[in-house]
Amino acid sequence: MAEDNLSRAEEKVEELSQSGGGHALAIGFYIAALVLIIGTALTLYGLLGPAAQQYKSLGININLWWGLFMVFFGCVVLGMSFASPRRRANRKAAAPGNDQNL
Amino acid sequence: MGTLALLQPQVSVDDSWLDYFIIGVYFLFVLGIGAVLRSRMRTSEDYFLSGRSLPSWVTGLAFLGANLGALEILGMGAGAAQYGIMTAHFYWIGAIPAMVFIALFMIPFYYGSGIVSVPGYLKRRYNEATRGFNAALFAIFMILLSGLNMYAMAIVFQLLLGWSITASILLSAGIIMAYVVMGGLSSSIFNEVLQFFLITLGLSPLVIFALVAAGGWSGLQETVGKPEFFHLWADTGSTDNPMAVQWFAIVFGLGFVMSFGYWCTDFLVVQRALAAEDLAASQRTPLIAAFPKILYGILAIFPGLIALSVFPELGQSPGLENSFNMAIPYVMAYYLPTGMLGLGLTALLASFMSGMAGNVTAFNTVWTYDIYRAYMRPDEPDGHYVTVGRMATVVGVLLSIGTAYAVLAFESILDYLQLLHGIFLAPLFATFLLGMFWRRTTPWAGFAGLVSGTVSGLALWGFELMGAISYGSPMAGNFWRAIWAWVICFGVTIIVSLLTSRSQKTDEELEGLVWGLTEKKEAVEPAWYKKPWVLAVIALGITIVLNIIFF
Repeated sequence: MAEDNLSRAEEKVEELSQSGGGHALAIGFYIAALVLIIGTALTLYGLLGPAAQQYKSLGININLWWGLFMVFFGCVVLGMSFASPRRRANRKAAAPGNDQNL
Repeated sequence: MGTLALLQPQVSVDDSWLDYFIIGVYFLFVLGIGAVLRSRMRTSEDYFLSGRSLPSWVTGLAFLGANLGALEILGMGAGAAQYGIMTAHFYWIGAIPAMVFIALFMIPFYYGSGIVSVPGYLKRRYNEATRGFNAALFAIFMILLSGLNMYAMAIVFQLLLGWSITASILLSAGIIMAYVVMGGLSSSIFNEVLQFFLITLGLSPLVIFALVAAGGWSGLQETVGKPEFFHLWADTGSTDNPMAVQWFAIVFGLGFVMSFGYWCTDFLVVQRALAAEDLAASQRTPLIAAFPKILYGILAIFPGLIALSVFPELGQSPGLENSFNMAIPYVMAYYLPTGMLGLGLTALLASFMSGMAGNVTAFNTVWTYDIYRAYMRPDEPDGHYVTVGRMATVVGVLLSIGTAYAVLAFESILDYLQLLHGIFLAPLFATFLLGMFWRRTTPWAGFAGLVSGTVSGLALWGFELMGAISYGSPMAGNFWRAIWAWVICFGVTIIVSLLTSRSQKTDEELEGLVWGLTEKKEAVEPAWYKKPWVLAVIALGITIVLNIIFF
């Protein structure tokens, strides 16, 4: 079982380097991109949009602040996605599926 | 007066181009992912099992994403508005222990036996008849749920944005059809992961802002003015609580029968765990999902409680637009300005669509593997089944549109959902439990138990409709119905097993299918923080603390 896992993990790493991710695709990049686009749109609207947008949310510019949070979060996901395939390849067979702490 | 107050949030929905822009970006992503995945779908394993190649954080979040369909989100919000924080029992006594159980005990069976579907297990453990019965029932169950999703979505978007019901249904059906046909299970899973992030990012600010507005937890309690709505267990010694159930029905009916039945045997969620890249990742899938699930006991329940403070008239007059189901959408419209509203609506849209897509992918797998290949054309080349799976997707979506129009009047989504779960999944869980842990269970006993459990669930519901049986609340009915369906299936299976002992399968045939006859494979997992039992203990610990805090 252990050896089986090892060889499977190795195959997977090769697959990753050849096809750029197999089924694992780069889902992290899609998440990051979607969150960044929406976050940026909210931030800009919070900065440039009409002041009336605050009347509902207790006078807090929720578009601006949540937009900024989403931009930050998107950057974190993006960073981890960049780091992840390399980590997988480096650790090779040691532990398959290591990018779970995303 | 009541309706006026309820119309208020509709009138003041401030949507602008920005909200449509956010929804549009989401649609582009969904279709884009389907298009990218299309070229990677070569074999049927690719299409139906994602080639068993996904890392555990993806399958884990998809596992939860498939569960957190909009029916669940709207339903739990509605439940909170109707029954108070006792609805969190679905999370903190229901989901978490069951998720831990499936990770520790069920996944090694599923993953190790190499089966591709729950009916597939039933065939190997029991017989063809059991598999056929379950597959047919499950296909119907999925189409019913998918149609419900579509209908609920259409209602929300009609009320908040004024979209026509038909337009919403056709738009969502078209998009789902496109991306599932293209990318199969992978498409579905990736969209569930996207949806998980969207729904979390969309609901969190709502809960935070609404709590601030209400003056925190204690302020909320004062505004709502119903102290019994803020206790999980304190009033369950008798039926004198919002759900009208005692602790026994909660622990056994919800905590054991319904939740274990749902999490362990609903192929929709199990399928996600089977797509993981190896056994360790597969075992970790439900545990990774368990942590955000704990959080959703707050994210999905609190908006419902908040709805009570803002719209106390909710649920007092007939019609879906006045029902508890609208708790979360109304709170969104009330607190979120344009922009954030778009995010919230996109989150709901995403969860409706991924809910439907999940139903449709589970439907096409069971149809293709367990009905079409099993009974119609067993020996076709692999590519043929991919084509059939794609066609099943189209047919599944079309049938769902039909059911969407058929279920025009249901008052509480949560009750409806639990009704279906109780009838379809509770008996199945008894069949599984006996099949896995008692080697004497015979093939025809499994069939007899499953059929009698399902039929008695349906019969009980029929008696309730006729008024012959009544419970203190619809939810109490759900718990007791599930308990009886389970007990009858369990009992009949044991009795028939004892009577038909000669048709028992040999130990060799049962290897890998029954606990005592299966060599325990320890998944290789060097990192201590990723070991299943470590994650399990942490998840259970947090859950116990929450039960004490909100006791």
